[in-house]
Amino acid sequence: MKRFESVFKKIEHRKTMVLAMLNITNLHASVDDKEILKGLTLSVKPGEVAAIMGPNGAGKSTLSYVAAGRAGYDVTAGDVTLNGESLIDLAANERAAKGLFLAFQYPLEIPGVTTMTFLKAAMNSQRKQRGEAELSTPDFMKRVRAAADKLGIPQDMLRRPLNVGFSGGEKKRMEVLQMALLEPRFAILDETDSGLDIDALRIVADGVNALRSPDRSFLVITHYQRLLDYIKPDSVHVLAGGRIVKSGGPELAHELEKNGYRDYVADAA
Amino acid sequence: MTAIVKPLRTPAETGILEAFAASAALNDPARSVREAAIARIADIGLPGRRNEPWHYTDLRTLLKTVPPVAELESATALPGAFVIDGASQIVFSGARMSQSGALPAGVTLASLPYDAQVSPAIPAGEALVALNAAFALASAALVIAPGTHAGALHIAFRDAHEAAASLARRVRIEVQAGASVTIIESHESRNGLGHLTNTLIEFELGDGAKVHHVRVNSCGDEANSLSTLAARVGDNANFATLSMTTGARVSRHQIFIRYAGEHAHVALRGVSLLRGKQHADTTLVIDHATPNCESREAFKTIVDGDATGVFQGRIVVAPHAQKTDARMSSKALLLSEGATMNNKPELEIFADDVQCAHGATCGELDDNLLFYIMARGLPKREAEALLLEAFVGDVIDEVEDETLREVLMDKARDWLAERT
Repeated sequence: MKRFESVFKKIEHRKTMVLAMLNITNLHASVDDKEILKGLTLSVKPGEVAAIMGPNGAGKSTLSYVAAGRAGYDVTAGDVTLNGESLIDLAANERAAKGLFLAFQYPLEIPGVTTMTFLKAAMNSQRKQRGEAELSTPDFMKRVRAAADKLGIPQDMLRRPLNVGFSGGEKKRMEVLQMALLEPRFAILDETDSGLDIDALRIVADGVNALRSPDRSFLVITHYQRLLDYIKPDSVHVLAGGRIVKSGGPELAHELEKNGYRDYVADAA
Repeated sequence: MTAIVKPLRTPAETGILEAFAASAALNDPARSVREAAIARIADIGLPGRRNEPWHYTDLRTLLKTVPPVAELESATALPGAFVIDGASQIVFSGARMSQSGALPAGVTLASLPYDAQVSPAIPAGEALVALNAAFALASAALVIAPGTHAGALHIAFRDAHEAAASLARRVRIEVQAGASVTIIESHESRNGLGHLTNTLIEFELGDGAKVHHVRVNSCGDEANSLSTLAARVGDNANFATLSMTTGARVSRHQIFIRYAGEHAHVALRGVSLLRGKQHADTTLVIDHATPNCESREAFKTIVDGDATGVFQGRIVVAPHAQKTDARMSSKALLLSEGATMNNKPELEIFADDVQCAHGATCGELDDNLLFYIMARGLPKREAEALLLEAFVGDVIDEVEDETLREVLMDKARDWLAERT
C-alpha cells in the first residue's frame, strides 16, 4: 500500500502541474552574478488570483522581470511554464504573444508614439505572432473606445504620446487598458498600488476585477495589504530571501499587516 | 633660404585636375571663370582635417578617385524615380536640364549666365563652391515674381548613368517680395557607382517671401555627394528647409544662411539615416547679421553599422543684431558598436540682448523602453523601429505640407523596414 501511496502522490503532483496555469519550479536567477531568486516555487491555477507579499529586497520585482523575460536576468536553474509550456528561452514579446502580461510598477513614457499607435502595434503584433489576422481599423477603434470608457479614460488621452505627462493614476489606468485589450491568460501586477491615491486605486482595482475570469489568472505583487482589500486574492504567498517562505489564504495578508515581515526576514537570513 | 612646403597631392586631387583637363565640354564661354576656380583648387587642394570646417570630413582621404565629367544626359531612365504628385518638374540628368509640364504663372526658368558671382551668404573662396564653378555644366535660374504663390516645384537630380561620373550643377532661385514657393530637391543615382556630385543651390528671398524647401538625398550607395545650400533672407521673410539623407557613401551638405533684413524666420532641419560604411556630414553657418530675427535648427541622426555622422552648427550673432532668438539642437542615436557621431555646435555672440541656445546629444536606445514595448508583444526590431520612427518623426512633423510629411515618413519607414 505504501508503495502505491508514493505513486498516487506523484500522479497528484502531475495533475496540479497540468492544471496550473503558471508553474514556477525551483527558480534561481541572478543579476550581475548576484543571486536574487534562490529556488522559488509557486503554482497558480486557472482563475486564481495569487498575491505575493514581501519585504523590500525580497526579489518581488526580479520575479516579475524574470517571468516577463527582461534581458540582464540570468536564470541559472529552474523553470517557468505557462499552460505547461516553458517560457525561459522565449523573448519578452514571445511570452506576451503566449498570453503573459506584466503591468509595470513604473509604466514608461514613450515620446512621439501616440497611445493609439502603441495599442494597435501591440495588439496586431501579438495577433501576427499567433497566426491571427490583424484587426481592421474600425474594429480596433471600437474595442479601444469600449475599454477606455469602462476605465474612464477620455478619448483625447489616447491621442497623446503614451504616458507622457500622465499622472501616476493615469499611467496605471493605461496599464489596465492595455491588459483589457491584450486579453492575457496570465497577468502579473507589479506593485500596481504604488503611487496611487485611494480613488485611483479603486478605479484600477475595479478594472482588474472586471477582467477576472475562470480561464485567466493573476499574480498580484504588493508590499502592502491595502491593495488586497480591493483585489481579493485566493491565495497569499510570502516572498523573502528569494524564496516563497509561507503560503496561505487571504488571512495571511492581514497577519502580515499586523506583524510585519520581521519573522520571515530573520528566517530567510 | 625659404621653403614652401606643400602637402603632396592625393589621388583625388590629382584626379580633379586630370578630369578638368580631359573634358572638352568645360571649354565653353565660362572658361575663364572655370580656370580661375581650378587654379584655386590646385593651390589650396581639397579640404581636409587641418581645415577647421572640414575636420571630421577629410575629403583628401575620403575621396579615392575622380571619375570623368559627364558631358551628356543619361541614356536610360532611373527605375522607381522619386516623384511628387502635383509638382512641376525640373529634371537634371548629367549635363542637361529639362522641364516637364507647364510652370506656374509668375515663374520663369532660364540658364544661369556665366558669371562667378555667388550668393553673399557663402564665405569667399569656399572649396566646394570653387569646385562647382570649375565643373558645373548644367544650371538653372528660377525667378518667382513678386506676390506669386507658385505651389510646389520639384528639382530632380536624376542620374541614371551606368558608369561613374563627375556631375556638377547649380540652381539659383530668386523668390521676390511677397512670393511663396515649395521646392523639393531630390538626388538619385544607381548603386555601385562612385559618382562625384557637386550641387550648389542659392536662394534669394525678398521681403516677405516664403520658401519651403525639402531635400532628399537618395544617391547610390557608392556615390560621393557634395552639396551647398545658401540663402539670403530679406525683411519678414520665412525660409524653412529639411534635408533627409539616406543615400551616398560620402556626403556633405553645407548650409549658409545670411539675414539681410529684420523679423525674418529661418528653420533648418535634418534627418540622416546611416548604415554600412556611410559618412554623412551636415555643416551649417547662420549669420545673424541683422537684429530681430529668429532661427531654429533641429537635426536628428541615426547611425547604424560602421557609419559616421557629423553635425557642425555655428550661429554667429553680429554686434548690432540685438533681439536675435536662435535655438539649435542636434541629437543622435547610435545603434551599433561601430557607429560614430561627431557633434559640434558653436555659438559666436557679439550682441548682448539675445537668446541663443544649443544642445547636442548622442546616445543609444533606452533598454527600459525597449523591454516595456517588447513586453507588450513587439519583437525587438519592431520595438526599435517604433522608437526610431518617433525619434525622427518629431523633426519631420514640423514640415508644413502634409503630402511631403507623409513622403518623408514613408522614406524613414522604408529605411527602418530594411533593418528588421
